Amino acid sequence: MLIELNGISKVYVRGTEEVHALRSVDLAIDDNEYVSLMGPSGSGKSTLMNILGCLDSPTEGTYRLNGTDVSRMNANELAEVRNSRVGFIFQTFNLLPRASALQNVELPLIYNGQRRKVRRARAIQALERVGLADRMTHRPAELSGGQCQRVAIARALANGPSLLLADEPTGNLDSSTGEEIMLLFDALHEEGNTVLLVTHDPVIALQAERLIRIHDGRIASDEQLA
Amino acid sequence: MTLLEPLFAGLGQLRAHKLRSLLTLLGIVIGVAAIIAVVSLGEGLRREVISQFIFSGGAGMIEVEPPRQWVRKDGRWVRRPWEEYLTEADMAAMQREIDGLHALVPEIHGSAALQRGKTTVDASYTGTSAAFNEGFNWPVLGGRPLNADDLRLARKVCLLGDDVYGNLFQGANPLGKEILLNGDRYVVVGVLDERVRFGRSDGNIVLVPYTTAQKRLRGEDHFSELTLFVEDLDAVERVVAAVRRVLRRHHEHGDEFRIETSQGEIDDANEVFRVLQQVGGGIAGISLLVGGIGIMNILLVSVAERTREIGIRKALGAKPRHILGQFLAESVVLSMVGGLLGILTGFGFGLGAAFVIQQLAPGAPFTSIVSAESVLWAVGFSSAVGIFFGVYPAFRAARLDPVEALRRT
Ligand SMILES: Nc1ncnc2c1ncn2[C@@H]1O[C@H](COP(=O)(O)OP(=O)(O)OP(=O)(O)O)[C@@H](O)[C@H]1O
Ligand SMILES: [Mg+2]
Repeated sequence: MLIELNGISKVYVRGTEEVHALRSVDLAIDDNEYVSLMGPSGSGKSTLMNILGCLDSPTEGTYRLNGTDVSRMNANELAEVRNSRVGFIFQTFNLLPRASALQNVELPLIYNGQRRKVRRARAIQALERVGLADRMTHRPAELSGGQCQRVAIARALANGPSLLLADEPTGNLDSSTGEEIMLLFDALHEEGNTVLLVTHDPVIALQAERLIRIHDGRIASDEQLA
Repeated sequence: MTLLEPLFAGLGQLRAHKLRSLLTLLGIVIGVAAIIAVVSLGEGLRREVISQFIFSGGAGMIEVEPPRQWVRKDGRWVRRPWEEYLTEADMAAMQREIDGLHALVPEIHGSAALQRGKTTVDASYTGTSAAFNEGFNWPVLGGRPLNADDLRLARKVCLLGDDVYGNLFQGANPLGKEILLNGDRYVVVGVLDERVRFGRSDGNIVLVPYTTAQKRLRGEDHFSELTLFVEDLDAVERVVAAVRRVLRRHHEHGDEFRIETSQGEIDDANEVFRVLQQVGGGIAGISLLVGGIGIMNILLVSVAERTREIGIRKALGAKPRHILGQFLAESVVLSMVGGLLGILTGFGFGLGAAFVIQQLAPGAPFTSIVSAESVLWAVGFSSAVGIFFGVYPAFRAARLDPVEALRRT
């Protein structure tokens, strides 16, 4: 089992008020699954994704990634998981504005301790994979939204993680660009990656093999699609 | 990740915020400039003073004088019952027995009324030998120094200091010409180079053979003083002891001869400049402190501005030490650039100050000396300031929570 969540809860405390973003979520995801996550705004999708991506930690419950208990990891080990086991793709791309596409893709390779040559070669490879071989020296401001998201995907792929987590990857894109990005995810899944993506778009959600609906911090439904 | 990469990234940050960085750096620049200026001016001044004290420009100087011959007794000056002089026998023994002497200069001093035609000049004479020019590093500009025949025959020849020469000859060729010295006729055989110490000329002097001074001018067979120059400063102590041995052997009260070395004066001068440099260093330290706080402030601003960037980096696997290194490098780059600018500024300031001092005291061969040591101090100090004041902001950046950081816009 790639991902195993047991009784995951996340409580935000704001003054005297407690916000239960996740309420005892159990979830298991296998290698090479293709899962979409839907739910109304504020239902806890991003919270769940952040926990899965080791950007955030749950208030309660255990999270096993590839059999290891993530909650026992220290800051450095968590950084390593984020660096090379998980590829995270954001709605707002989160590219460094002053760095070129190539430099952005190189970042996770730098933190992985790769030598300059190796790093350059792998970054170029990743950019070629997402079809941006001719935009490597461009900065984010000089790229379209779809191209930015491709750079972000290339960056997520750079260290060859098997798990791709995408939080509304098409949320900031028009529908045709969004479709192109979805084709990319389809292909990445075909190549053996595990893909988990959050979306508000039912059409996109139905491209996956499994659809999980989340409501008020709880899993409301979990179905295999045809 | 190599060590250089964060440094280059730091430089990039500096370029991206030129004005802001420059203003921040001002404190460091001023601090380092102060260090360089104070240290190099101080060093130039110190060397100058030392070389003034010991004319030979680096070698040690030992002055030997006889005990005071006259003492006051019952309200009257009386000559001591024992009369002891510095004699040629003393000089010969020192010359023979002491190794490592650069020069041994005999001197007899007196006042000289000089006359050429209708022009008269009051000066002082020194009866000596060619060792005078050697020891005091005071070359003969034209003509020749005193020679062995001059001494042996007690010739009435003289060398003129440049002031005397100017006053008596007004630029005319003096060589072979006669002048009157205390009423007697002397032939000019040479002219001394000009010599200025502490802005005043030493050139109102006439050199004659010491034998001539003894026989014809004073009627005494002793010296006013003997001055020994040693090549190696460390040899001063040994030479002093040897001189004392000779004096004890030759004189009943050999212990009462006065022996003075340049070392005491050099020590005094060094002490004064050490204090000066410490004061200057203190000022420099304070401005570096202020500069460091400026750097800390700008780094805190930088961390706040780049919270999102930090979040992105952490999401991509940057460990706390990576972020820490990034901001520390930025801080060090900032302060080192400040340090380098400060070195240039300080160097320029030192040169400027040396120039102004030369204008105020013409002839003072005053220089500003930038030592490699002071540059190392400045660079080392400024990067230490960078690290010290960079640590706190860098730690704040390294400890940011990734999700929190990413939420910022
Ligand atoms: N840092 C926080 N402090 C307090 N409450 C928070 C914080 N982050 C999220 N929440 C709350 O937790 C709940 C779940 O938020 P989350 O971002 O996971 O929703 P979401 O499903 O991703 O919504 P959307 O579709 O709008 O992105 C919301 O009620 C939100 O207000
Ligand atoms: Mg969300």
